[in-house]
Amino acid sequence: MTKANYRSLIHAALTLTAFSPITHAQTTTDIAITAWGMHYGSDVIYKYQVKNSGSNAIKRILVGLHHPQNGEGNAELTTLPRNNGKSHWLAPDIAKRPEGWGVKLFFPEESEKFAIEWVEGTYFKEISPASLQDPNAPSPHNPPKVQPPKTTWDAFSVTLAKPDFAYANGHASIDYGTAVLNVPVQKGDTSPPTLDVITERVNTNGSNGKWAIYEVKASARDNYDPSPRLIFEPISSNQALDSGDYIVEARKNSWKIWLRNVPGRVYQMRYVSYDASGNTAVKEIEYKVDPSLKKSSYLTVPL
Amino acid sequence: MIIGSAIREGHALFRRLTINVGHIRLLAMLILIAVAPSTTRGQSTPQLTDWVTNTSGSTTIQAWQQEVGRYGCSFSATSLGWTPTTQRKMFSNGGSVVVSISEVQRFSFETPVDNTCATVFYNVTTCGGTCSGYTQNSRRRSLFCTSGNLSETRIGTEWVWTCSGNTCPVPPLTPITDPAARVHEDGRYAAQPDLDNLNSRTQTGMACILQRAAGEGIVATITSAYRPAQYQSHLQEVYDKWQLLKDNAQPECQEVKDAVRREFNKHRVIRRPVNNSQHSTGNAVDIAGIPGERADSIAAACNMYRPEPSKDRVHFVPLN
Repeated sequence: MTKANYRSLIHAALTLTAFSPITHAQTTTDIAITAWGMHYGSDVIYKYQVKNSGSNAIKRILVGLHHPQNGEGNAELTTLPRNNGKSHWLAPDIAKRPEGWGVKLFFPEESEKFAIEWVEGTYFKEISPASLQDPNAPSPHNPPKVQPPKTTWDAFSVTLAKPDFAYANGHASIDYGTAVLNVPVQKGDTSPPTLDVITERVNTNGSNGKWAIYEVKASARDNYDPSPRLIFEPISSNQALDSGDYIVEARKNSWKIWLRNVPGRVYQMRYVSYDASGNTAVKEIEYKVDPSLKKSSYLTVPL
Repeated sequence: MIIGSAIREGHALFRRLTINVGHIRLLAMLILIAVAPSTTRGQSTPQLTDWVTNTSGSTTIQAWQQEVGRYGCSFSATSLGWTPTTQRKMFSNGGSVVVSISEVQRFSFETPVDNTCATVFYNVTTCGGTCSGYTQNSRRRSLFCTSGNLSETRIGTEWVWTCSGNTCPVPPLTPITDPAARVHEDGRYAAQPDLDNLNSRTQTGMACILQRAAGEGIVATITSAYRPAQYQSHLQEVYDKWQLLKDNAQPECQEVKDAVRREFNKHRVIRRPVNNSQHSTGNAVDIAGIPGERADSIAAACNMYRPEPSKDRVHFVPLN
């Protein structure tokens, strides 16, 4: 065998020696996290269901953290839970947690936005051994109260003073076995509210014709959120509006709207209803000034 | 020196081999690996440990000679040399491969000519005439890698072992030695930022900002305060090394990569921490929740300001 033959044999041997990297069959399809939002009195509550279909346990969940394993991410939440300022560990009446777990705010360095972190007690001790000096920190459990494989847990919720849709449609970073998964949060409620708007003209152009007066009754209902919010947005027009060009009287369950008649003007009135999950319904009503109005009827309006 | 020794040993073995074509191939491959230039990046030659010899055969022979000597007789034993036995693979150290090379040293014995002594010899050894290989020593040594992992490849019916790589170019994380940084690393401030080690001006300004914000109905939250310099460096190191290792599949880097991954996931470092942070001098505090249009006026009323209101909106430091 020649030296060249030896070398080619060696190189073949060395090439064949390459290691295959160990890969873990852990995918985001193993975990599904679903969020439902609802208005409850003056509060907004986001409830979460975590479904673990895989073969590893879940030990830590950060909702509102987009944290891809191989890339930069961001915190996503802006609305603090109700008891913020008292403790980073959220009180049980503000944030529900599974037995043996704690829940706190997680602010990445230099970030204004944050995530909500649910963490199992023993695992918390493992990743933050000294912080157990905090009396509010979750207690370690033996055996740990991890979320086992093939289970679905619902004992997660957080209460806010106002909606923050990122709670329902952001991302979650989940410690799953030895891996960290970046999982999109799915909305459990994807249906927009049903928005009913009844508009009734309550005057005619007869008397002076300077104003068109409408009475608007609007209501919204949702398949999940018991109190979807209803907004009457500022009136817009195809022309620049002065402050006195329209008047809105808010009444109980209705609005009385005065629109100044100006030739060529078109008013747009827009009603928006949204549920706490961020689903929205919109209804737009347009009023075109009657072109048959006599000029004298709108002489008071600067042209 | 070790390599040279391995080569010399390999040549010696090669000369002695007469029993097994497979062994010839194996040792030839080992020799070739030893003498071949290291032209493949990340590959190196396994080293050989020293022999560990089991001298039970010699001990047995000595015992026999003593026993035969009690009758005024003697016999001689002649070494037949060392010959390889089967290669054994053992798995240890969490699954890393250790290859053990074994040899045996056999002896031949000549029965004494004297009949009485021949009888004694036979009774002691149950060996008559010229017998060989009746007892033997054995010895064993292993292949190991000074860097990387020992890996094996089968060429035909034989195995070839190589070191899969050199030292990972990304060194392990620097140990945290500063006690203050250690406390942070251990999570003492995972739930509440470290306010105790802010300087007095920052503490005063922070309290003032919180009070004024509360007076305006603003819920403000301290998101970060004092961070020891070594802890800050640690966060930066974790971030930087993860960027280097996240797509790295070199076997020699996997241990370092696993350690860095654990830290990266623990801290969820989603952006690169800055080099020289004022947080490390206790001269900065991050306060979230104050709307931008109010933050600067509230800060100014508290002798504080935001150096970078657009890039780092939560970062407040005292006015000089």
